[in-house]
Amino acid sequence: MIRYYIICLIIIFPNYCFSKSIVADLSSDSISINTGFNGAELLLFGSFDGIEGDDLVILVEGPKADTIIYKKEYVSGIWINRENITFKNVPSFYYIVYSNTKMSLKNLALLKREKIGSANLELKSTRKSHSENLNVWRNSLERRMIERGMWVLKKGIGSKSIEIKNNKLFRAPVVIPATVLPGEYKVSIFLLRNGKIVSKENTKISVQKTGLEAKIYNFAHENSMLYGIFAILLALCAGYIAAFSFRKI
Amino acid sequence: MYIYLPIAEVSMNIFAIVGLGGMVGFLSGLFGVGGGFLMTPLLIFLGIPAAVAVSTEANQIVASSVSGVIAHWRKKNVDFMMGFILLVGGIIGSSFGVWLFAFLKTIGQIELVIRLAYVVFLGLIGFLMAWESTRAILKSRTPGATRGKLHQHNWLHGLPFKIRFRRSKLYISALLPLFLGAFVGVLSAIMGVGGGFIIVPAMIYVLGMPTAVVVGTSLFQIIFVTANVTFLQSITTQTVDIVLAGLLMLGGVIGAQIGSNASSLLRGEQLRGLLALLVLAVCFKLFMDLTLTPTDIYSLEIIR
Repeated sequence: MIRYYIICLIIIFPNYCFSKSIVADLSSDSISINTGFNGAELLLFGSFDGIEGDDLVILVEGPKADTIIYKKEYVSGIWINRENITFKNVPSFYYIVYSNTKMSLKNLALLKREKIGSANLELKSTRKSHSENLNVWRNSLERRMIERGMWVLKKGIGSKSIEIKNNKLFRAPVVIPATVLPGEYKVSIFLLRNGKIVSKENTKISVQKTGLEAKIYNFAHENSMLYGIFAILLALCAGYIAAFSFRKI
Repeated sequence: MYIYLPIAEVSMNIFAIVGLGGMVGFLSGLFGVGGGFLMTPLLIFLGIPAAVAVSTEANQIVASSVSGVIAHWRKKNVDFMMGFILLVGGIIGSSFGVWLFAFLKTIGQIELVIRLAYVVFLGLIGFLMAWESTRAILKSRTPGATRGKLHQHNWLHGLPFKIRFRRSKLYISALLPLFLGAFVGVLSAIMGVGGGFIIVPAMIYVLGMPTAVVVGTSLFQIIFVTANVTFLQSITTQTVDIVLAGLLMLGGVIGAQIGSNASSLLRGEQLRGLLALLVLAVCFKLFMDLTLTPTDIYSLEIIR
C-alpha cells in the first residue's frame, strides 16, 4: 500500500521528489581557529543523480565584509594610495568548483542569472562617481582576492578540485587558508543540466576562534583598557625577571 | 611549528618569531641599541600587519627597557629629574602620536607613513653609524688623534624655566628635554620604537649630558613612553598582540644576554659597521618598495 502511494507521489510530483537527488556531507562541519591553526582542509562528498554532460558546481561562501580598494599613484617619486572605493558585503571567502572545464553556454547563462561565480556576484560600491570605470575597480578586487587565496575557482576533474564516479558519487577537497575570517561558511552543491538547476543541496561549515585565541581576541576587543594594563604588566614582569635571572656573575 | 597570533590574525612559524627576537636581541645586547627600529620593519617583512607590528613592538620595548634600566640603576646612572621631564614630554608626544596613528589608519595612509618614517630615520642612522665606524677604524690606525671639544652652552640652553639637573651636572631650560621627549614620543607611537637612537645622540649633543648617564636615563623614560603607547594603542586600535610580544620578549631576552657577553669578545668598530650595513639594507628595501612601480597598483583592505 505505502509503496503504491510513493509511486503515485513520484509520478505526480517528479520534480519535488527528485529535487533532493544530491546528498552531501562534510568530513567536518566546524573548524576551530586555535593556537595551532594554519588553515584547514575538509572533504565534501556525497551522491547525486547525474547523466553524461551534467555540470556539478560546488560553492563555499564565507562571511561578508566591506572591502576597500586603494589605487596607488606616483606622486613626487613615491607610490601613494590616492583614490579608493568601498565594496559592500564582499564575500571574504569564495571557493567555487566546476566539474567541467568547458561548461555549456546554457549553463553559463544560468550561473550568471543566479549570480553564482565571482564574476557574476552583485557587488554594491559606496561611490557612484567612479561608475564608468567601476569594472576596473571590480576586476582589481577580484584579482587581489584571488592572489590572497581567498577567492578560488577550480575547473575540471582532479584530485585537487572534484572527483566524480559514474555520475553518481563525488568528492571534493575544500581548502581553507589560515587567513580566513571566523563566521558561517555556506556550502552549496548545484547539479546543472541544459540551463536548469536540476537539484541543489546546502550545508554549512562553522569557523570559530576557540580556546586561548578566542579569549585573547575578546579580551583585547571587549575590555581593551584592562588588556592594555595587562600587556604592560606582562612586559614589566618579563623585563624584571630577565634582569635578575641573567645577572652577570 | 606554527602558531596563530590572535590579534595579528596570521599564522606564523614560532621559531621564526623567537629567532627574530633573539637576533635583534643579540644586536641590541652587543651594541646597546634598543632594536625596535630593526624589529618593526622585519616583522612587517614577515607579514605581520604594520599596525600590529608597531603596537606590539612598543609592548616588547617596555620589557627590554626594564631589564636594561635595572643594570644602570644599580650603577646610579639614571638622572631621574631629566628622565621625568623627558617622559612628561614623551607622554604628551606619544599620546598625540597614537591619535595621529589612528587617524592615518582610517584614511588608509598608515603603512605609507610608517614606511616613510623608517626610510628617513634608518637612512639617517645607518649613514651616521657607517660614517662613525669608518672614522673609528681609521682613527685606530692613526694613533694620537685629538679628542673633540666637550659640550658648550648654546642659546637653546638659555630658554626660560631653567632647572638644575644634578646627576647630569647641567643647569638648562626644562623646555629643551620636554620638546625632545615630545618629538621622540610621536616617533615612538608611529614607528614602534623606543627612540633611543634619536634621544641618545640628542642628549649628548643637544642637551650636553655626560655620556655615562645618557643610556640609563633614556631607558628610564622609554619604559614610560612605550607603556603609554601600549596602553593607548590597546584602547584605540586594538593592535597589541600579547602572544607575539611574549614570543619576541622570550627571544629578545636570550639574545640580549648572549649579545652583551659577546660584546667583550668581538671588535666593536667592524661590528658597528656591519650593523650600519644591515640598517641601510632594511632602509633600502623599504625605499625600493615605495619607489619601484608596484606589480599591482590596487591594494585591498577588509574592514570588519
